[in-house]
Amino acid sequence: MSTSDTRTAPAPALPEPRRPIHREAGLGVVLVVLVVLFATLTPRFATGDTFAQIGTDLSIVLIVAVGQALVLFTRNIDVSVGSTVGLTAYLAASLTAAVPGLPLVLTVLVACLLGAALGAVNGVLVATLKVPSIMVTLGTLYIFRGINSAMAGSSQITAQNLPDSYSAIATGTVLEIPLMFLYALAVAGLAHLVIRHTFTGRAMLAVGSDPASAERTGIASKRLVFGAYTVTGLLCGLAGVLWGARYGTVDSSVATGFELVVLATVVVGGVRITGGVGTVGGVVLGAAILSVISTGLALADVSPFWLQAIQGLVIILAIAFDLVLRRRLESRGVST
Amino acid sequence: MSTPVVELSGVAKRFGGVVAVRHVDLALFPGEVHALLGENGAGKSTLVNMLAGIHRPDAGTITVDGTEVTIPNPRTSRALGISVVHQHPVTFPDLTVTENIMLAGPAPRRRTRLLDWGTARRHAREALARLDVHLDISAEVKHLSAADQQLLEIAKALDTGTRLLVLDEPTAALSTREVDRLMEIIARLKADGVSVLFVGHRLNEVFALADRVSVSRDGATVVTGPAHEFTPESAVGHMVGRSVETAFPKAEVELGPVRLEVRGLSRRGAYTDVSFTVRRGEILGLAGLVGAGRTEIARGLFGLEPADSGEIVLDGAAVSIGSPQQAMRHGVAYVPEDRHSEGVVLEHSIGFNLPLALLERRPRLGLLSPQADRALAGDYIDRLRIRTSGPDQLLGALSGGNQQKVVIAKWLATDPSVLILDDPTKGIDVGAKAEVHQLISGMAERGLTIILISNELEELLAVSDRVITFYRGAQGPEFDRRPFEAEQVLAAMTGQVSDVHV
Repeated sequence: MSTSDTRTAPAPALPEPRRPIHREAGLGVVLVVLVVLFATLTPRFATGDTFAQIGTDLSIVLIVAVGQALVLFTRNIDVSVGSTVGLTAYLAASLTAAVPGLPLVLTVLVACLLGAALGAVNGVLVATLKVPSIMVTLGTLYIFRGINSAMAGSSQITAQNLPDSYSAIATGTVLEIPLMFLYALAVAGLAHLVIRHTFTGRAMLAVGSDPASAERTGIASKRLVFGAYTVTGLLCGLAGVLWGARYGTVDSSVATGFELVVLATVVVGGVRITGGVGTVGGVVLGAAILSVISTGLALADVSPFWLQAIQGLVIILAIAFDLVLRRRLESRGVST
Repeated sequence: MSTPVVELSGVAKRFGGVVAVRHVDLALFPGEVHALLGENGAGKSTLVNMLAGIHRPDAGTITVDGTEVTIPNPRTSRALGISVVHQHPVTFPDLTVTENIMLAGPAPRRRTRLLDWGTARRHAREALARLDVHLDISAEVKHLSAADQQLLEIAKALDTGTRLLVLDEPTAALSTREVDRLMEIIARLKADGVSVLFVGHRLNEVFALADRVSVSRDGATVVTGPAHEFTPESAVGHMVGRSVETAFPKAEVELGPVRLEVRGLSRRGAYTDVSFTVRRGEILGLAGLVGAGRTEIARGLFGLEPADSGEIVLDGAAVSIGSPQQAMRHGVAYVPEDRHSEGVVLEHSIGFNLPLALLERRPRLGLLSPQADRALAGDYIDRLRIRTSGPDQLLGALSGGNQQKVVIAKWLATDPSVLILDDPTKGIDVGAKAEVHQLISGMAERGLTIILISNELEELLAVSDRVITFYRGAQGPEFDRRPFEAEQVLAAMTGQVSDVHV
């Protein structure tokens, strides 16, 4: 081979252009498989009522999970979401009970602002004081719950104390679609727009993917982390109002342990717990999968004593299925 | 003389009690390639970070086109026309090439403030085309090779508004061919009137393209002048503050019997039909470009990615090496290319790191003995002259050269008979490099069989007894020491000769 030959030799061939396959594809398949499975197991599953039920059930979780996903994207975590939902639920219900005739919009606004303020506390501690987020939010988990207990004591606010219009937020439907589900979809849609189509959203993923690089690129990491926590708090506030509206009874134990349900949803939805990876669409599917599993198992007459254990098993199977599917696609050189 | 694009006067920066930059004066003119030389710790990276808006100087001034400026953050730096390529890639592994390029600069937005993905993809394609780099713009960056990531860095840094391009040791991850391409790019920028600050310590590159040279030592610029007034020797003299012998010390070693023989080793997609022998006390160099299959062969010999076919013969007996554990049992040790991710645990002490490779030989449930570990560490600290406060010092606190010595010590502690070193002096400074070379030579003298991989041909030729070339996974001509003809080796490793027998 002569020298000139080498110089003009073509560059090594590029890999085949990758067909873009969405990360969510595997989750979508899992969801469909589950729905078909339960529909064959029990005739009660594939009905409009059941789907409306599932849609309502997943709404509150989804709203908070979207916030949690934002926090996880930035390589942080918020385990105080259950307490934040509990505290805002109590405050919103108390306010409504104490001030009859208060416009509902105002109640929602106040709850959201309160939630945002609680989230901002987490945000300040994590972003500016650089305390690891798991420690900060474990602390505020207890603090927010403690405040809730101190205020509520053993009292309860029940449906009798609340105007009918309050529960109507949760029970209403549009074209037979539960309102709650529409709220949750709106929240998810907005979050998707921000993550996928704004610089801020991409920058959040960048911070989680490599914080040091983010700093060197001049991305305002602190502001983004603070923002993620504040938005999560705000969404917890919204979830708090919906909680009271849906269940009618609010005491100091509302949403205890809820953070684990939220984390399960987000993780099943393919959000990486160490940051930088995930989509809002995945979170929506994660919420749907978990809700289908719990509703389906309940309808399939699984012994209530075994329900939780089997639920856990199905979750693991679902995740494993998704992972295997995704690895197969990746090994065939398909970007997922 | 024209106004400098960027000028630093009396710039200083300290971190706590440590003075990183004492007093730097540097003027960078349009269309000039300026090389800034200095050992690690001379304050070069801090200087780069001040230009990049990551650190603010404590004293002194920075002017752009004669106007004094402050650079509070990286975006301001970029807005001023300063583009910085950092030593370590500043990339987001989970995001795509397009997203990485977009995040570096002003992002294209629609009137609704939403991102304009079409334009972002076009920008990305254009940025890569400017450098004649072919990458899949929708690939996630973690799937790119180290060299491609470095090229992406440069593509990201350059935009139409670039007035000053700062390259902080940009060639560390690049192979010879890519370095050549970088040189072409720099020449083109220079012709366009862009000023280029080239920070590094690989002298041959510097002298190939610099118009002027500045040397920094202990945080201060000690000399600046036209490149032709320097020789590699005088530059190194300024860097270390004394004149040094640049020749690498290679001891003449009486070679013993053949220790390792490789026959027809192949692995699909990596290398084909590789055969060679190495003797006791011999240093065999593997030359080739990045991706020629050298690292893969090393990983094959160590059982990390076992070969598909072929034979490995140790001391006359055929052995099968299917895992690193088996390799270690046969006395094969491998110091990997990327010491940060594969070699050591930076968050732990030297005493913790040194015995790591020995753990396999210890009783599963036996108690560890911290005293014995510290004693072992102390022993190697002396033998390898590792500069540290003692066995308890965290590895992360050591300089790159000393970290590398710990990695080598970790494997020496297993008492290997064959030691494979993959780019052992990558990213460490001139002084430490010479010490590592001395160490390698000393190990060969004691009868160790050494296989050396290096991206610096100069180093390979200086240290090896024999060099085998590889090109795209195929074994090429072999060269013997004294005299190595650098041009011939280079031609072989770039595939420009295929069957020359030497």
